[in-house]
Formats: sequence, C-alpha cells, structure tokens
Amino acid sequence: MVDVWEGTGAFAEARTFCKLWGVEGTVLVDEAGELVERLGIRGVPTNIFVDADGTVTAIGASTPRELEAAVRELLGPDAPLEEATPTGDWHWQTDPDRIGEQLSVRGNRPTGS
Amino acid sequence: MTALREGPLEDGLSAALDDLDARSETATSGEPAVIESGPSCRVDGAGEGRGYRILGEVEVGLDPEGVVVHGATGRIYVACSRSNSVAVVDPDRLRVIETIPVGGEPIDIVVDERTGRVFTADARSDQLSVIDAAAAKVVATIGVGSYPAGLCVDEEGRRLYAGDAAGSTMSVVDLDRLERIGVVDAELGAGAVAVDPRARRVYCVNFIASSVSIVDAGSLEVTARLPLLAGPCAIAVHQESGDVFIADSLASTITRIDGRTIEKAAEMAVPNAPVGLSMGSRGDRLYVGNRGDGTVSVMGLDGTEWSRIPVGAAPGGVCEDPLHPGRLLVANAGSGTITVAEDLLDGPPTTPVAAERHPMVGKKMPSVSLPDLWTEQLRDLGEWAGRKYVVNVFASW
Repeated sequence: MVDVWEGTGAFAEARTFCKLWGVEGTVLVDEAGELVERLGIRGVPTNIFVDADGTVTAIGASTPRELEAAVRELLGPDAPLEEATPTGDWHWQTDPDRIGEQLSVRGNRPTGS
Repeated sequence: MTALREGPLEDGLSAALDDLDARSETATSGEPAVIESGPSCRVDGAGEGRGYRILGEVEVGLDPEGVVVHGATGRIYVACSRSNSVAVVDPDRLRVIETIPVGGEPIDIVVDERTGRVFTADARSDQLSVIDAAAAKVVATIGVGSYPAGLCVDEEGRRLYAGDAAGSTMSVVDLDRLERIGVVDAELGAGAVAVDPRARRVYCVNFIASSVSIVDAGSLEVTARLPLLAGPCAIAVHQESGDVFIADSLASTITRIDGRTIEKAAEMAVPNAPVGLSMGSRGDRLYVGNRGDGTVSVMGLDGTEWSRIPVGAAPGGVCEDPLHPGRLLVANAGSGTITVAEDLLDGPPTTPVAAERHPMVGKKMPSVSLPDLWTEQLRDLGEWAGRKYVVNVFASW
C-alpha cells in the first residue's frame, strides 16, 4: 500500500489509519506525490496491478468485484481466490467513539455535498 | 502537486467567461483565463463544440470536502476539514480572501440564503458552526449528535437537517432560532441529507448501514427504509419528479429511487468512488465527484455519462453556481484545492463518454524509492520485481 496526499503529518496520519483499520503488510509513504505523479494517479482508492516482468496490467479496480476480476486476470483463472462480496468487509469498530475515529480517517466520509 | 493558476483574471471571471476564447488566444503570460479546455473528442467524438472548460484551480486548505456558493455575494465557501476552517474565495479573482476558523473537521457546508448565514458540520466537535457571511466569523454553534457529516437546508420549512454519523441520528435545527428542535433515529453512518419539499419528505443516507431513512417532515417519523449498495454518501433530489439519486461510494454506482413509489428504479455505474453529487439546475443532469478518478462526471438522469471533467486530486463535494448555471465548483481533497469548471453541454452528446485505458497500462512500473511507514527506511518498488503484485494507493482521509 502507498499512502498519498496527507498534506501534513503524513506518517502520523497513516499510522493512525492503519492501526484503526487493522492494516497489515507493507505500507510506503509517498509524501511528495512522486509515485502518483509518475503514474498519473488522480484519485483514491486506486489499485495498480503489476505483472512479473514489471508491466502495469491494470489501474483502478476499486470495488470488490472489480478487484477480484483484476486479480484473477493477473494471477490466471485457476488462482485460488475467495469470491468478492458486494459490500466487502470494512472492519467497522463497534464503539461509537471509535467509529467516529474511523469515519474521520476512512477515506470516504459520509459527506452531504 | 497541482500547478495552480491562482491570481487575478484581467476583467474578472464573469467577463472572462463572456469572452473566453478570445482571451485565451491573447492572454499575456501569467494571466491565463483557462488552464484546460475539454476537447470535444472526450464527449462526442465528432468534434462539435466543447464538453467542458476549466476556469481555474485555487488552493484553499487541507482536505477540502464541502463547497457552496453564497447566492447574495457569489462568494465560494469551502469547508477544509483538516484545516478546521472555511476558506472564502472571491469568484472574480479566484483567490482566498478570508479564512474562518470553525470547529473540528468541518465536512459539509450549506447556505441559508434567506439570512445569508453559512453552516458547517463540524464532525469532530459534534456541532454546527453558524457563520455570519457579512462579518466573516462564527456567530453561534449548535450542538448536534455525534460526528455530524451531512447538511441540508429546507429554506421554506426554515429547517436545517444534519446527519449524525456516529450517533445514528438526524438532527433537526430551527434555522431562525438556531436551536436543535428534534432528533430522528436514523442508522449508523447517517450523513448526507436531502429534502423533497413537495412531498414534505426528508431522506437521510446511512453510510455504514448502507441504507436510506425516509422521514416525514411534519411528524419527523421514519416512514420507510431502503437498503442501498455499499458506502452511500451523497444524495440529490429532482425537484419536479421527486426522484432521488444517491452516490454509493464503495460500489461506484448512483442509485435512482422513484420519488412516487419509493422503490429502487436503477443502479447506474460511475467511474470510481463517487463521493460528491448534485443535481444540475436544468434538471436534466447530475454532477458526480469521482474521488477515485480525479474527475467530475456529467451524467444524464438515465445514467449515461455525457462528459467527464478532469479536476484536482481526489475530488469530493461538487456544486453548481446558482448565479452562473453550468459553472461547477469542485472540492479536491487530495490537492487541497477547488476547481472551477464550466459544463458546456446543452444536452446529451451524440456519443457518450467511452471507457479509456489508463495511459500507464502496458508500460513499465517506474522505479521509485519511498519510506516505509513503520521503519522509515527507504524501499524501492523494484524489490518486488519478478513477482506479480498489486499496489493500493490510499489516503487516510
């Protein structure tokens, strides 16, 4: 995962996000927007699929079904993947205060605009 | 990351709009009236006319989410959620002329044109801020439920509605007394709110519960509930038909609800992560802010995408300027800017927007070194060479 466009305090913001959402694995911080600029990425979330020879095979695919399709295409039709669900699994906290924290760092706020 | 063209326009934006093409040819260096124009091939493929025009992009603050135009003055008010402030933008000079501190994490912003007051939903302060536009300062705060995230003004009914996301409620505020006068049980993630004044109906969208609560404006009782696709977070009501449109951000769709039967009528695909939504003043189109795509879709009510306007990074809130029909204001959370654009279409194009392959597809992944979040040691994407992998680009907001 690559964190971008934090504006300020990128490491602190990203660490809070990852702890709150239980994100595991490698997370890199693109504070200056170098990667997204070179790739022409203009929004989040965005997924970039890369083949074994380093070629970008797809960009985008943010919904569970799109993600599943792109991963299947990358790995091949026989790849042992669980089927995506329409709602995904967003790991919401159960404590209202913690939900508020998740909402404020969740990437898509329930804005009315 | 965005090259801003902030600064005075020679004769003001209104004049520039009237004579834009001529000016763009003769503009002196450093005073461009247009930073990008939409080629017709994006829209109709045949070269007739232009689908859109970008008039400017203005740096406003951190993580701008909501944007609204004050009808009496034409000024643009932007809720900058990570700056805990509202930026006021002069529409002629395209420059921030005031920064008004509000509560924690203002997300949505609305105007009550009758009084000229501007309201923000300060999510982390569990309150609404009331801004006197003339004085350019907060004159009152109103306590509401936990994590208010969406607002809607019912000017005739003299009410303001706020979706309290963590509190699972919708607060009802008297617009004149500036007091909370009611609380409606909604569901978890209550946020965006819209009013159908003809039917005296209020719709409150519940982001986490993936549903919409339908409320009788008179009794303030929930009369119905509809399940939605994942992550509904913006809503618009067609003022004549009463049809309701809801952006399902995590499903990348717009759901249309029939305003008479209150049943789902359609699910319409949009590019990626629609977070902002507004109804065009002509009543024939929607404007959709696609957070995952860096674009605003101009969409017919049947789900046909008429044009796709490139804006700043990770856009959210989008509104049409009531004083200049077709002029759009877009809050770009990623780039900390607003984009001012113009929708030039009179109606559906001859050819709707076609799916485009990202220009990087088929090319080599660039070699970039970035610090690891936990160790802060530089790591190069090249270390995954020889394997198949997926990079997820995200932001914490």
